[in-house]
Amino acid sequence: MTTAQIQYYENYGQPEPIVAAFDQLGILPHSLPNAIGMWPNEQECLVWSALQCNPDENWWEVGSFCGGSTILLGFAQESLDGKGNIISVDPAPRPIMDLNIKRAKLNNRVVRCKITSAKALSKNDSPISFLFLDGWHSFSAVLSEFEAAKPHLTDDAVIAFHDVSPKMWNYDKQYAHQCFDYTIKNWNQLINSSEQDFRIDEAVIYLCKEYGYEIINIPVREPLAYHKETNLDRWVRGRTSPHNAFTAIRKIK
Amino acid sequence: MPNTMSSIIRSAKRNKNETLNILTFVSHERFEPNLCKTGHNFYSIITDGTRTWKEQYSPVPNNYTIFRDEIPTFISNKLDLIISHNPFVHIPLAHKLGLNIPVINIFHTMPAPGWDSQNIPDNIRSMFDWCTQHVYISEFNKLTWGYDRGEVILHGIDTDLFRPAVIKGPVDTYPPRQKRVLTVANDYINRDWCLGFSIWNTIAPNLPMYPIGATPGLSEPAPNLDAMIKIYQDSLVFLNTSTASPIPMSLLEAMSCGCACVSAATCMIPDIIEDGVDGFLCPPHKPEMFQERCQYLLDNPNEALAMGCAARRKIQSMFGLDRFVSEWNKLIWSIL
Repeated sequence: MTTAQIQYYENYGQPEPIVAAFDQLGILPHSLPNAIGMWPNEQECLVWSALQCNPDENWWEVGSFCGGSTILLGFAQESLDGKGNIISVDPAPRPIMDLNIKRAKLNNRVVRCKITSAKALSKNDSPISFLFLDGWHSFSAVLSEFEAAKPHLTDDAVIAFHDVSPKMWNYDKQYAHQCFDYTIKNWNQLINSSEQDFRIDEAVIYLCKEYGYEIINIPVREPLAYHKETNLDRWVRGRTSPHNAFTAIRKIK
Repeated sequence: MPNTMSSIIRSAKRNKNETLNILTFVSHERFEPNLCKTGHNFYSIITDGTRTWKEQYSPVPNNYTIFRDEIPTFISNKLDLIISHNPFVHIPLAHKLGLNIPVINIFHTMPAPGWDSQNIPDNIRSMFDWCTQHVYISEFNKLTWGYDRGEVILHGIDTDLFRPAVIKGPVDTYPPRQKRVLTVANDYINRDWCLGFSIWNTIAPNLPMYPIGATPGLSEPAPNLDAMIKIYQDSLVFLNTSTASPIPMSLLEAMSCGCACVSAATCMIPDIIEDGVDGFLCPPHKPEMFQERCQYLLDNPNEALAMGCAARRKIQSMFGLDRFVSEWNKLIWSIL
């Protein structure tokens, strides 16, 4: 165990030491061949959200890539002495993921499923206290993943999403209404067609309205400052968002 | 010119464990001398697209002969094997020679940005398939290429050559080192994308930096290998900012010479350095952390020396030359 890994046990329940331990594994933000598609602040948001969940239940992620977010979740669950597993689903993860999981000494905690999210979730029969959706971002993909997981989601489960627009992160109420209106008006097209546009914002707002969830206010230490590729206000496939594109929801109590 | 028939005759006459004749191309002045320790005869051609040997980096080994443009027939008729160090330059050259002998290709680097490891183009895959065997210098770079044939042979470091300076006496002691931060990189500025010059540049105003390497406007290379070793031996701290080198040779040499190392946590380096034990690891997006770690070591020379000793032990155990030579000989004989 590295110094930083020991350090995070001394800062129980805090995201920063977990991200510091992760930083030593050589997985660089948005920099292939060993990349995590999340900026450091987004990584902290992911860890913070996971730390709010029961670590004795399984935590799921859809979209493994190189295993970066898997490791962050694994470290977070370990820091809480959790008995659960990290179930990471991706039909085609990068081969380097195996090396990363081994390097992080998480082989006993991480379960890799190299199948589609729909198949993996349909085979699940255990409670899920944390679900991180970072796979295919069409409205229908997000909704079907949620619905497959729904029977197993615990009452206080957190559902996290990556690649939302910054308006989602700030929870701009007017924007939320726009998303919902768009969803309702275009319902048939979104749910039935083969449309592959990325409509993750609309999907998040739809889940909130339809299933009684609300966006969690995640404390972040500092704003993102990684404007290196684009000034887009939402993520587009193949282009990296310079913004904090992470959000999470939880059932309204 | 060599021909296929002579290769077949040579193959039929070859005795097990005899000294082999290996055709190669000048590539790495610090790596190839270690390969020469396998004891075979190496013959190198300098032709279009290949490099020349720079004696400044390392003397040409006695069993390494360099020819320009063409290998004489009396040698080419008895060649046993070809070793390529660059898949895109040396494999086509080897193919062009038309020899019917095995070819080993070494992947020293990671693929260039944009390489799709999950969809290798057919023409490139065919070129790779043509080789008899491939060798990767780390498990990490093997995974980045996405080409599954081949085995990993880690570097070997001559730890008798790359060693700390010692003052001989009833009890050997180490002389004090200069409180400076050594970096070794060629063309550092232009290769910022892979060598992390911007990290160096950010922290340089605040630290006693000592850059070495052929970088116009910044630094000169050491005049020869002995001088380079002396520079390692005299430096308290070594800084590696490289972000895209599977295993930087200079980092291994600095560790072997007992420098306390501060390195970017990238590629295979997290498998070599245990943070806080035999070096410090820093994420490339946090230059301030590199600075803090370097400053800490400069301010605590005894801890730096202890870390340097641990680093040397790690190199001795993980990158020993005997293991390297033995693995290479085993591989070579396995394909003949």
